[in-house]
Amino acid sequence: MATTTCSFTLNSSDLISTAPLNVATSNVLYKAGLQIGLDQVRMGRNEITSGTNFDLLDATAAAIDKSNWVYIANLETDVTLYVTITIDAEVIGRLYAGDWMFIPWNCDDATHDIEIEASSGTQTIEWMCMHENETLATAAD
Amino acid sequence: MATVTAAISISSRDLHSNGISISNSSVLTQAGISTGITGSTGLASKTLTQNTAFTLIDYSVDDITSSGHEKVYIKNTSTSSTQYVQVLLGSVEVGRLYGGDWLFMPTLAPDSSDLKVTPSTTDSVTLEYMALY
Repeated sequence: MATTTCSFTLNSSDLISTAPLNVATSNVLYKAGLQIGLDQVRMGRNEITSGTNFDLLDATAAAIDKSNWVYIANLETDVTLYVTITIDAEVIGRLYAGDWMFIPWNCDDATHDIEIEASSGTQTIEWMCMHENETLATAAD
Repeated sequence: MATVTAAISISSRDLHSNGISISNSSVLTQAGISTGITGSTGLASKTLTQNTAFTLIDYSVDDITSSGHEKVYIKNTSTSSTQYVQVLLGSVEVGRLYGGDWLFMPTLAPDSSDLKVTPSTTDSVTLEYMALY
């Protein structure tokens, strides 16, 4: 097993004038229902062209009710650009240039893919999925 | 407008043989412009004792519009490694937060799909959360 730690901070001195915002937390990524660290990872960097909703991460039956943690970052710098993240036809939200997200991802079923679509142009993203229970598909040839 | 900074660090010495160290930080801005966000629900806390769906963020009540730049932070403050809280948008389960887990994600403030949570058991579980918009 591996030990993977994910830390988060959220800070602002002026969002609420009377109380500075200082949120800090971290967690270790475990297999579902256990205190055993996740031991598999996939990661990548992709260029997303506009006009098509792409599968970024395919849900599989083997991953149902397992632990999957997904990090996605939009590396663009033009503030008007964004990518839309969708799961199972439900729009989760938009990652504008510079934005990132970190979510647990439960593959409810094999159609629970994480999809991504660029608003315009070609946008570069980076992503990582830390998970358990993946078995590679048998080669067809 | 305000300056709100969200940062993440993912690190592991043994998930990959070469180690993993990823850091990222973003200033939260309004959709399509470089002006900082202006609103939030404030950092809130909710204790749940039933394993039924609870609306954690009601987009209409909380006056969160669908501008596209909205973000949500949720943390399960429990210490249980076996009990979890499902996070749902509409009928779609995004994922599960076990004790100590947190998430930070964009949300498009859908008209009919408030952000809901469903605990796995009736044991008391406390969530900390905040919507930023």
